[in-house]
Amino acid sequence: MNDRVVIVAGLIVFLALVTSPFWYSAVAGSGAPLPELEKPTDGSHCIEAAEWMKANHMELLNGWRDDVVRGDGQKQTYRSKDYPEDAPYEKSLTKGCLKCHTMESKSNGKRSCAQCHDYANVQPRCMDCHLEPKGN
Amino acid sequence: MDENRRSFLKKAGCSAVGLGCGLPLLGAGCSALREGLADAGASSSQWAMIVDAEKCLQEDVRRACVEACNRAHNVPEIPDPKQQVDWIWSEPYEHVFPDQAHAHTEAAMKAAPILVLCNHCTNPPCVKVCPTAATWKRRSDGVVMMDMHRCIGCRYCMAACPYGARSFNWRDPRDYIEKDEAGNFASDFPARSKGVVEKCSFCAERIRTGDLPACVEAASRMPGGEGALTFGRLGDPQISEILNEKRTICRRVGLGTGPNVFYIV
Repeated sequence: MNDRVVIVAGLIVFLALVTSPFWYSAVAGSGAPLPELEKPTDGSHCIEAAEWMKANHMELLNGWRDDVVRGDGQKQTYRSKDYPEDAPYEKSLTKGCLKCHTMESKSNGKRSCAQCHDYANVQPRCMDCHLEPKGN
Repeated sequence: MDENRRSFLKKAGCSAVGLGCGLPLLGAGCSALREGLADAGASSSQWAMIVDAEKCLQEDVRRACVEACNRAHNVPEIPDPKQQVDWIWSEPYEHVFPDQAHAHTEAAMKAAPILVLCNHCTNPPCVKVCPTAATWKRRSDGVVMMDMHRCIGCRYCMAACPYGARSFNWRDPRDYIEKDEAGNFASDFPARSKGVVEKCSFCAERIRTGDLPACVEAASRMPGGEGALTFGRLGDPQISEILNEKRTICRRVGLGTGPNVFYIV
């Protein structure tokens, strides 16, 4: 029974160590910095509202991929729901998205896909094969 | 009626056996008939290519075709022949038409290089064996497509293709793709990854927008290469006229794959 003090002290030290990340961030304050995105200055916009794109771009791109690769032999286009007056967009990562969002494999540009993907710790495999378009 | 219990049971048993054997046979017969009708011939919307073997005897015409394809699709040029990736390439006449060549084949054609590519068969054996449907025959225009996202690299299709038209990426192809001084690839076409099978797609990305395949365009730009390769739908007059008027042959027709690349020899 003389070990009680030692055991309790050990438990306290153990709990303090295990919970230290929470204490540390509570005391030190800031977490990882949010990625800062450069907004377009020419008044242009993404094909849908930014909020919707943030949440759904991965499903949208998966759908586009299936339509283009596995659809019929026609040109595949997409009509914006948020901006119905826009001309139809060609379903293409390289010819569409990457005109504004530069690629993550090479570019460290301000609007690269990688900034948010790094922050969210997701590793999409698109860039294993798809290439950065040349100087458009 | 002198039908007793014994004879009734006999007849009922015979009928049950007959039905049990007959119905599956009938079903198989019907589906075979349906398939036979579907395979009776490629539809008029099927893309097809006609290769004029004589015009392709010029080396610069063949090289222009192959280089245009390699550039358009970022096809790697791997020195090891066992790992080489080809979409369109040249093979000696005897290998391309083993059932045509004989001991007294005309001198001009003996060992002559012939351009070969995927035949986009009407009845493609590669499609039948693919366990993931990563390769399929597109209904709208008959192109035998590849989905690199879905290919698991089992290489069944390579074993099934009697024309050797498919290549496997034994390694990451990027190191072997032609680049310019700035380190950019020749085109925006996605490179492939290690472990997938690839082949000619009849330039699916180009015909989608109304362009001709890269090889056809390159051949027509070469002096003497006009008409070396003709591309169109089977129903188009430019294709059907050549097929009607000239004598064309296909590779290994006896296999029943129904190739859609035709050769004027």
